[in-house]
Amino acid sequence: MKPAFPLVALAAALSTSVFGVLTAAPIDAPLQARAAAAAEAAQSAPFILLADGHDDDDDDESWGFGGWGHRGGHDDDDDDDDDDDDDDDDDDGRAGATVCPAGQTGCGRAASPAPAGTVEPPANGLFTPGAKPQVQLN
Amino acid sequence: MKLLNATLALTTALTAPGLALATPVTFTTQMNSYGGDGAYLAFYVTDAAGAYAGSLWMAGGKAKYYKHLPGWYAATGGDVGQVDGITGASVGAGRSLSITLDLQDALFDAGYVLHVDASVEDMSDSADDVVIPLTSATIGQAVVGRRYVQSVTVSK
Amino acid sequence: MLRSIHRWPGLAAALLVLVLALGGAALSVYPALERLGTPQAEGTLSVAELASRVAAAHPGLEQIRRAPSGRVVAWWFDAGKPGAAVIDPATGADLGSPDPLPGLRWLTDLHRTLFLGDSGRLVTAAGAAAMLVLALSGAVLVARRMGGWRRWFDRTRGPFAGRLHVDLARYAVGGLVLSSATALWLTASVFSLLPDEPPEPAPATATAGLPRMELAQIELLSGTPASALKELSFPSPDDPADTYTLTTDGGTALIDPGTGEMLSFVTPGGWERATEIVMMLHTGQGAAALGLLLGLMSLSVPALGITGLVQWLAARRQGLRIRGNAAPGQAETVVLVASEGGTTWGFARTLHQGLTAAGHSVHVGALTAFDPARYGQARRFLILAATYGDGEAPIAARGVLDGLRRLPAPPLAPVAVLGFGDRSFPDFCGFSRALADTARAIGWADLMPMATVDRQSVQDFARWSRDLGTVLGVALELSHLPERPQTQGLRLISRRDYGAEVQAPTAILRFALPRQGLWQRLTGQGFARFEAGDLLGILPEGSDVPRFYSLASAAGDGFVEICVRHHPGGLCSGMLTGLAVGGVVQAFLRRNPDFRPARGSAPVILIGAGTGVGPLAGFIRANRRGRPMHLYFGARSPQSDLLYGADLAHWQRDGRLSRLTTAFSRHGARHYVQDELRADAAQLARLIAAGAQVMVCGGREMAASVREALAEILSGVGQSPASLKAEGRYAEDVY
Repeated sequence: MKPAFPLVALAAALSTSVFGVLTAAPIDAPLQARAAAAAEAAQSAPFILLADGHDDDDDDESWGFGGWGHRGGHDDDDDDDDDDDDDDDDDDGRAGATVCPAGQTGCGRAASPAPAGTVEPPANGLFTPGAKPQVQLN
Repeated sequence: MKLLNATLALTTALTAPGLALATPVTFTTQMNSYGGDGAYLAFYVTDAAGAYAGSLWMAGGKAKYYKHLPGWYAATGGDVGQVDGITGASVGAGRSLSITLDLQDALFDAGYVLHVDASVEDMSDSADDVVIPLTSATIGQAVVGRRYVQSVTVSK
Repeated sequence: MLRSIHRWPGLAAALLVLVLALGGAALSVYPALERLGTPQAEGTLSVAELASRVAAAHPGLEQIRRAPSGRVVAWWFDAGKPGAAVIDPATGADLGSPDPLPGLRWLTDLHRTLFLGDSGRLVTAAGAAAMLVLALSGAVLVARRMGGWRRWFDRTRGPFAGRLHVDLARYAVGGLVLSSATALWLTASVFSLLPDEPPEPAPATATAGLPRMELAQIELLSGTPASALKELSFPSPDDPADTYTLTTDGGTALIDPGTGEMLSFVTPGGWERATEIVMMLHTGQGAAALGLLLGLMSLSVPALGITGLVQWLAARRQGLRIRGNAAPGQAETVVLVASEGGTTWGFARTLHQGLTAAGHSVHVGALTAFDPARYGQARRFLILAATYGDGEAPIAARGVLDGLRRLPAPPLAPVAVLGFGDRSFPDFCGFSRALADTARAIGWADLMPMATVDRQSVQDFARWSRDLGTVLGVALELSHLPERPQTQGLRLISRRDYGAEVQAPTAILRFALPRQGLWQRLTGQGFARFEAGDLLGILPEGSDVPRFYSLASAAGDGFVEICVRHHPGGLCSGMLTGLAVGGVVQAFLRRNPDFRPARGSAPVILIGAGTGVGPLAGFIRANRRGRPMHLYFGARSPQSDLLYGADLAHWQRDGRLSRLTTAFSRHGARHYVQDELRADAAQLARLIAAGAQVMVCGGREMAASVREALAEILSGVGQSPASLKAEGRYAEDVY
C-alpha cells in the first residue's frame, strides 16, 4: 500500500487545512458572545449549550457552505440589516455617478474599465471633448 | 482667457463643447523603489469644497482591486465608468509614468486638488499618497509622495 | 483515444508545465520558511493587545496585517516619513524589513504570468489545464493498465520507463490534480469570472466630537484573538469621521473610534470563502505542510515528462502506429491487439491493410483499451493475442480477462481470436486460449473458431486470413512480410567452449559492446542500457525470424555475453557456436524487465541448468553489494560443462555468491537441481519465509520439475510458486 501513502497524507493535510478555515469565528463573535451571555443571564442557566447550537443553525441557513451568516434568529441582527439598507440609500443620494453603492454585495462586481484609447475619456467636465490621453511608462 | 470664471467654464464645457479651452497637461509620476509588485494608482480631482469632481487616470486594469485605492473608492463607490477610456497599466517600483491629457484650463487656480491613491499587492494601501493643489504655483514643481510615489510633477 | 488525449497535450505543453511545476515546487518552500522564521504570538493575545504594543512602538501607526503564517507587518507614517516592518507580536518591536524573501517575487511572477502580464496568465492557465487533463487521463490509464480501479495501487510491471512513469504518477497524481485545479480557479478569480468579490461593510462615519478610545476598551478588538486577525486599519488622524477597519477570517467590520461600537460589518460569502480556501491550498500560505507536499509532488513532473516521452518514442519505434486507422466509433471491423513487442502489431497492420483494401473500415487498437461502448458500428471483433513463454499473458494485457468477466453483457458483434505463440511450449498460445474460453463463458458469439500462428508463421497467418475472407465474403489472402528488426553488428571478442565430451557442445560467447550515439545513450535505446536477463535477438543468416538468448552481462560490464548450446540442425545455434573470434552477427536488444532480481537486500535463490545459468551468472557478477545469493546449478559433469566454473569460485570468494550447490546428471550421484532443492528443503523454506525471491532459468522440463519440487517444499509454510509469483517473488525465464 506504499503508493497510497502520499494520497492519504495529502487528504489529511487538505482536510485539516480546510477545516481550519471553515471553523473561523464570524467577525462579530465577541459581540454575539456578549449578547448570548446577556440572554443567558436573563434566562435560566441550562441554555448555555443551546445558545451555541443556535450559532450552528445560523450557518446552515446562510449558504450551506459552513460559512457564518448574521441573518440568524437574533432580533438585534435584523435591525443591523435595516441599518445597512438605510446607509445604502444614502450613498445613492450622495454620489450621483455611483453605479453601485459601496458595501452592497452582488452589484460591486463590475467589469473592468475600458482601456485608454478604446473609448473617449469620461465626460466629467475635466477633459476637453475628443481628448486623447497619451501615456508613457519608463 | 484665465479671467473666465472657472465654474462657468466647466458648465459651459458640458453644454457647449465647441467653446472649451484646453492645453495638454502632463503628469509625470516617479515611483519609489518600494520592493513590491506594480502599483495601482488612481488620479482624481476634488473641487474647492472637497467633493469628488472626476477622475483623470487609473493605472491598473482590474476593477476588483480598486477597493484598495481608499480615497477614490470611497468617492466613486468603485464605479468603473469613472475611468473608462482613461485606464492603463499598473506602474512598477522605481519606474516612471507620464500621462498627457487635454484638460480644461478652468481646472487650474479654482480650488481644485489632485489626489493620487496608491496600492501594492500584499502591502498597505495608501490613500492620498500625493496631494497637489492645481494652481499656477504648483506647475512644474515636483511634489513629494508619501509612501509608494516618490514625486508627481504637473506641467503644461 | 484516451492515450492520445494523454499524449498530445503532454508533448505540446511539456515545457510550459515543466516551468510551472518547478516554479511551483520552489515556491512551495516559502510558506514553510516564513512560518519557521516568524515568532508566534502567545495564544491568548487579543487584537487590542497586539495593536497597543505595535502602536506604542510606532507612532503614526496606519495598518497592521497578519499573514496566515503568523507574520505580523505594520505600516506607519511618522514625522513625514513612511515606515514598515515585520513586528514581534510579543513586544511590538521591529524585526526587520517586510520585503519578501529573496527570489519570491521573481518566482511568483514567473509562475503566475511568465513575466508577460495578463496574456502570460492565460498561457499559464492553459498550462494548468493541460496538467489537469494529463493527471486525470493518466489516472484512468493507470487504472486500465493495472486492470481496474481496485488494483490501482498494485505492483507495477513492464519496461522500466513505463513502470517509473506509473509509480511516480501514483505518488503525485493527487497533488497535481489539486494544484492545477486550484490554479484554474485562481485564474478565473483574477479575471473576475467568479462571483467571489469580498463584500464591503456599509460605509459609516465616526461619531463627531468624541476623543478616540483606548484600544483595550474597544470590545470587538479586545474580544478578537490576534490569531484570527487579517488586517486592522487605523483611522486617519486628519479625518475625524474615519473609523477602524478590522478584517478577520470571519469578515470585515467598521468600528467607531470614539464609542467603540461596531458601525457596520459583513461576513464573507460562500464564493469568497471558497476562493480563500483555494488560495490557501494552491499557495500553501496558512497550510505550509500541505504546500510542501504539493511542491514535492510537482517535482515529479520532469521525471514524468521524460519517462512519458521515452514510452512514446518506444511505441513509435516499435511501429505500433497504424496508418489510416479508422476511428473506433466508425469502424465495422475492430482489431484488438494484446502484445508488448512489435511483431503481433506487424500482423495487425497487415490485416488492417488487407481488409481496408477490401473496402472495410477497420480500427486497430490495444486490447487493454477494449470497451464495447466505444465501438458503436462494430460488426465483428478480431483479437490478435500473443502468449509469452509458458502461457503467460503479455504485460500489456494483464487484467483483460477480469475486465471481460466484469462486462455487464457480452458485446453484440461476434469475435474471432487469433493466438500467436511458440509450439515448443506445452501451454502453446495459453493466453489466447484463455481469452477464447472467457469470451465463450460470457456468451460472446464466435465469428470463427480460435486459430493459432506458430512462431510468426507466414503460412499459418495466410491460412487464417483465407478463412476470415470466407466468413466475410471477400477474397482475402494476406501474406505478412515480417518486419526485419533494426539490428546492429556485434563482433565476437572471446569464446569459452564446454561440454563437447558430454555431447552438449556449449559456448560462452562474449561480444564487444557496439558504439552508441548520443541520442541512443540519452534515451537508453539499443545497447546503451541493458541488464543481465534481458534478451538478445539474433538474426541467423538466411532468416528474418530472430532467435532470443538471455544476456549474461549488463551494459556496465562493457561487453555483451550469452551462453549458446549447439542443437543439431539448429540454424542459429549452429551459426553462433561456429562463430570464430572477430566474426560478426546481426543482433538487437529486447528488454525483459520481469526477469530481474527485485530491489532490496532480500536473499535471491537462483536455479538454473545448462545454458540457463547465463543470466544467473550475470546477476551474481552484478552483485557487488554482496546481497545473499544462492545458486543451484544443474550440469552434466563437473569436468566438462560446468559453465562459469572458475568465475563462480571467484565470486564465492569475494562475497558475490553466498552458496553454490551443483547437481550433475552424468557424474557421481547423478542428481538434478530439483533433487538438491528437496535436500535443502528446510533451509529453502526458511529463506523464502524470510522474503527470498526465486529465479529459475533453463529448459521448460527442468522449470516444471523445479516448480513441482518447490511446491512440495513451500506447502509447509503456506506458500506456493503461484503465490510467490503473485507477490513478484517467483520469476522464470524458460526456453
